[in-house]
Amino acid sequence: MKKRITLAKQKSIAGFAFISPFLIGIILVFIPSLIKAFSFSINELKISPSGYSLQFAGLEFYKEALFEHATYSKQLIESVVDMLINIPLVIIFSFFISNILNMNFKGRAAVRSILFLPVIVSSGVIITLNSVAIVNGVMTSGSGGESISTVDLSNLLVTLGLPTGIISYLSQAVSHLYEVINSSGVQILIFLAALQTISPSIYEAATMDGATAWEKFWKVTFPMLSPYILTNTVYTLIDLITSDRSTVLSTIVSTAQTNINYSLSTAMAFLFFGVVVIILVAFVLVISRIVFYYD
Amino acid sequence: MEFIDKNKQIKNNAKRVGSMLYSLVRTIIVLGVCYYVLFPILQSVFQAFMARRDLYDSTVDLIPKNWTLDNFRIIFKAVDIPKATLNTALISLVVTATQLASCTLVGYGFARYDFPFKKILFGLVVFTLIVPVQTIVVPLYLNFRFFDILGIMGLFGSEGINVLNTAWPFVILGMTAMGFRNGLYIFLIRQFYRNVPKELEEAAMIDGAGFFKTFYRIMLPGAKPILSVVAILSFVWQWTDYFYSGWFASNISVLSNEISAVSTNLNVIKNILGVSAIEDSYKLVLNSTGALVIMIPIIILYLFTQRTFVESIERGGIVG
Repeated sequence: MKKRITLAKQKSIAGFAFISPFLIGIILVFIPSLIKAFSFSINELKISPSGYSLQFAGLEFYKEALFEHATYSKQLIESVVDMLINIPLVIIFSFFISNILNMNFKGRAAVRSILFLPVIVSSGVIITLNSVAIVNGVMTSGSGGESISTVDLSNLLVTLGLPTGIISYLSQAVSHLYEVINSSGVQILIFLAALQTISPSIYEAATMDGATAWEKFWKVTFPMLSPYILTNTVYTLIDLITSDRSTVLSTIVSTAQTNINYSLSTAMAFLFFGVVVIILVAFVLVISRIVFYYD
Repeated sequence: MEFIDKNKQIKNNAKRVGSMLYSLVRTIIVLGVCYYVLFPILQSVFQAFMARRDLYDSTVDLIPKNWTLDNFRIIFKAVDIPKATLNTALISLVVTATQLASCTLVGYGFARYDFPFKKILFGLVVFTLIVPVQTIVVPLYLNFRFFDILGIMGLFGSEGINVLNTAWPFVILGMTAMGFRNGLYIFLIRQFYRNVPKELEEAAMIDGAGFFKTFYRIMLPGAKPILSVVAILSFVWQWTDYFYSGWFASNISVLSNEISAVSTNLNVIKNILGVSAIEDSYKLVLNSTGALVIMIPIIILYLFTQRTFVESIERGGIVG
């Protein structure tokens, strides 16, 4: 007698069928490549026209990347600092801008399209082509020397008696403004979409209870948006580590392509990945404490 | 009586001034932010049309005094732009088609079906996103250099075929949802399908449509907004990509690689201009011109699609 397959079973088979492209990809492409990459980073890789050979090197390349390479470790630290500064800034900026854009005013649609423009035009090679021009332009950021306004600002803050940690963060923030605005497009839209899912009845109830606009913002809007802070943080991090602004990435690429040192490049990439994971976990841990789930 | 009225009036006036002040501040912030976005684009446009002698003119800051198309002429002479554009367009179309197909299937599967290890598998989708491609690019490169499915050719003593500089690396990565930021596309499509009411699907199934037919006939046409977002992102990011094309198709001339080579390989430019040295500032101008040449098609694409784009992301493309 033939056994009938239950609907649930049929559905799970169909589910696997639908995700099969990804399954094939992860099993045949991604995981083997990741394992191979790891073996390349602990072996010396030599490529010949007929194939390639490996020679065991241990942690040699990791040591070389961290301690001997001229710029890598410095750039790695810089990229960490960059992430720690940029991620909170992008989140805060897109949070407030999306609240502004959610109001009714003339030209709202145009402003949204403009804010999303960087996602389209400042990607890939265009960043590399324009980066030099921008550093030399009005918007001096970081490496191009501090712009006058930043110096003025930090002087002002020193006279106000703020702790130096906060001052350096704020002045960094100002010099990062250009980068922050240009990498907030998607995040703004995610927050905007989330804002529109908040039921007006909650605001009405709050108004009836006598809440002021300020209170409504912190007691209704903020908690309702908090889950998307997490989504946006993960997105921002991914954006930062895959964007062509990152100097670490360009060092990794040039080590492989220009200097043909594949093993060193892979070791560098693994170190970078490790750092990214640590930062991601740290952010997720911090943010999940403020996240509020409505349902 | 009169006194109360006056009081009310003052209060109303204060309210009106307050709201005017508020919208003023809002306008300033919005304009400032737009300025930051548009300025670099304008700057690169101005530079692209600037004559070389304007660089020596200290009165010229941003807006050129002598408008010219010379920079474009040089770029078009140094690079075979029509050919590079055609290649870029072909690769971008292949990438968009394959990535869209695979990510839609996968995103739909994750949104609508329950199967064992679903959470772990979706975790792997996010994992593929946070692993920088640079980590696995060397093995990928070698895979394509000595391409061999499951070691079948190795059995016959062959080393595998070289599929670099063909469309295959892009097709393979696209079809297996392993291309640039494909995890993000899967995530977006999954979030979209999670919001579609289940009744639609159930009705189709009761009418006798199979799983795939239901998807193809009912769920696919309904997802046009989010699919167009994914298609545009995938197309544009491939259009400006130089990483994947640099590794897997370095011999195929595409816009990104050809144009970024212009300012590093200055001999060509020197020959065209008939000069022996080129100033750094003119290199910047050439870079801006090149960037503009790459950007123009995608800006036109964006102008036509920005409405759908922004609206569909907002209306439940992302937020579930």
